[in-house]
Amino acid sequence: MGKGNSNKVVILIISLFISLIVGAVVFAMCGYSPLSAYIAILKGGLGSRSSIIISLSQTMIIAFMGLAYITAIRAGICNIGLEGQMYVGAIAAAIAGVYIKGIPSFIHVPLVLLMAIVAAGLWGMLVAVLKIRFGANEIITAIMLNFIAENFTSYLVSGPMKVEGTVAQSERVQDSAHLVNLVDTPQLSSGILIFFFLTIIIFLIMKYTRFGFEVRVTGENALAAETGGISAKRTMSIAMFTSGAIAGLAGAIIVIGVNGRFIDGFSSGFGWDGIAVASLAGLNVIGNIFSSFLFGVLRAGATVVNRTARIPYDFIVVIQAFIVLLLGCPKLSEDLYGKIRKIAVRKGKKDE
Amino acid sequence: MKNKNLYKVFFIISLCLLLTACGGKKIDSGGSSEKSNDKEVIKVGLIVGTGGLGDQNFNDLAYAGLKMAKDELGIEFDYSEPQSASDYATYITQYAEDGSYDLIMLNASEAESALTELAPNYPDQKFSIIDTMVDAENVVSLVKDFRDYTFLGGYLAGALTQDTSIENMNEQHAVGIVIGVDSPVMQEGALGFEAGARLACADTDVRVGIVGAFDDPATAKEITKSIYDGGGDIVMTLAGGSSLGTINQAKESSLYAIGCTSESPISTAPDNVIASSLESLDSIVFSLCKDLIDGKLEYGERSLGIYNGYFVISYGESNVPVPQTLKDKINELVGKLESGELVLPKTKNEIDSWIKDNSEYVYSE
Repeated sequence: MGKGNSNKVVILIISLFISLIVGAVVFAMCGYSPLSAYIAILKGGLGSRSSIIISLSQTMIIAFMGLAYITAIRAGICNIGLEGQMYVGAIAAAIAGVYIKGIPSFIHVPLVLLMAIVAAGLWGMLVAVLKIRFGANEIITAIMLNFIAENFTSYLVSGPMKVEGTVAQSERVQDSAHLVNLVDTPQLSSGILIFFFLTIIIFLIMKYTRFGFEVRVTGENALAAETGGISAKRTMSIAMFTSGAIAGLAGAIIVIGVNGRFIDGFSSGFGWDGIAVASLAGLNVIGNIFSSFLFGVLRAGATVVNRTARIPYDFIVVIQAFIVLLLGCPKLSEDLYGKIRKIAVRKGKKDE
Repeated sequence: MKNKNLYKVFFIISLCLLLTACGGKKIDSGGSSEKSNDKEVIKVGLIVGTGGLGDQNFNDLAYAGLKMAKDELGIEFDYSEPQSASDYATYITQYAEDGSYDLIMLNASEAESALTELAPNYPDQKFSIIDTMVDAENVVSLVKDFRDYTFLGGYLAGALTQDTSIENMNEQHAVGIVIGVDSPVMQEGALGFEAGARLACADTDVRVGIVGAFDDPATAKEITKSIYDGGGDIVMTLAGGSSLGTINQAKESSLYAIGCTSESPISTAPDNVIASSLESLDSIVFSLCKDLIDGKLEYGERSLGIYNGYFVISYGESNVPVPQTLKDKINELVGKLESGELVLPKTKNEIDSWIKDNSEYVYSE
């Protein structure tokens, strides 16, 4: 077990290096200095107290999405509806945050989070229900549900819920619904604590409970699970509810912890990044923390590179894509690792 | 076992070396981004709208303004292109934490809530934002007066609809304006148009069409057609991406239109588009930089209108004949607005009495 893991880590590191080198080539080809670009990314992502906090606040949302993806895929459903579930959770949070008035904060905040969990969880479970009852392909239904969620929430904040002014956004949530900041300047929402708490819960459930076992078996082979007396349908539905709920929770935290309101089109592809970090982490909930941090640093760093080195943001997206791509073909890194090791072994023998 | 791990370590170290070696070579060829630490130089940060640069509109105009300020006033500037509305908080924080920017410009009204939240955290940092009002002591809010956007176009329409010598212009004194959505600012645009048209000719019938979206040229085209069918012969458009529908319908019906934002409507249909109401965001950005250098930057709301040269009417390369007397009259109106002698009405109900008070501006050939 330990050996297998350390090999995985080495392969991961090789993939990272290769993608950085490919990235460097792309930078150089377009006339940017790769070294100064990478230094700027590191500085922007980790260079100071404030940049670390900015990286962390980016990490938080991506990590939520990664966790949501892992929860579903463990049960054998590829949830690419994260983006839509996040929007649904966010709008539910906005509705509860704006229109419920006059209750103390220690009731209001949990209530808002609960609304988001229920709304987004049901929205996520819809995918599983459509799959189980009608045999619908979960990829297609999830993509369609994404469109519906994005556009419907967009309608709500451009129409009935719109605040006065030129921007399509909801009103500010009540003060009592605000999630307190962990750090004030620059802001880091205490949502990150909720994330760590959730990660531990999911980790424990997956590892030590009967339900976790059922999820694993269903994910490996639904038919075998059914034969063994596990209701695969029930397991899938619950897993999708949980997955959607986690994505929705991230949306709620953006609304009550980051922006203070629902802004139309607030997501910059968090759901998609979530899938990438989950894959990068090998679908491991603990690994998810680290891969999300990597993406968070890249995101925060990218904005600084964009500003100081005049390198378009899209370059960072290219590097991120390379990392995921290379991990998608582990054979390549393995082969490389094997070859280099052989050479090293031969050399080592000669030296002796 | 131990040996194996050793090779892993060796391998990783060699990869590190490889990478740094690569990088080292490239720094000689490309290490050019020197930063001047001279504190005398004014440095501006521009955070553009989510449309990004290359939108041929808003963002490009702000960039052009800073470029001009760089060339002529010697400022320095950096810019960023956020991917979504939720990125503004991150960008604002990064720019503000950096501390080297004399002014951080937000070229997006979507940044409103982020700036409202963050501006008080950085009391010594100057910010500016466009199209919305942020009530903080260190923010300059640039707010367009949409009545001014359409007023001159309205006057032009009201004057020309009387002129039956122009091809296809009918007897009826009817014109129209197509606005993007039913919002307060858009309604102000419609108000400015009506005021202009009825100032030129008091009995002008002004029709207002609402598309419902800024990216729906098909509906804009239908609405324009219905205005033409009802006897209107000049339609102004204030509908962003939907505007093209109006321009196309004008072409099909061989009637007339007035564009907005840039000169591109005129070049699209030079035989049908009479003029276009231009926004000069670039010059406002430039003047902000100038104020910054002179230490005269004033916080609070700064209204953008005809009187400070923000909206300009342009006839471009249009083939529609506009009499010189009318052009002179419009220039006169601009002068009166600049000097404050002419003040536009605030509500629809005021228009009638306002026209009576300003009867000297009636247009007759």
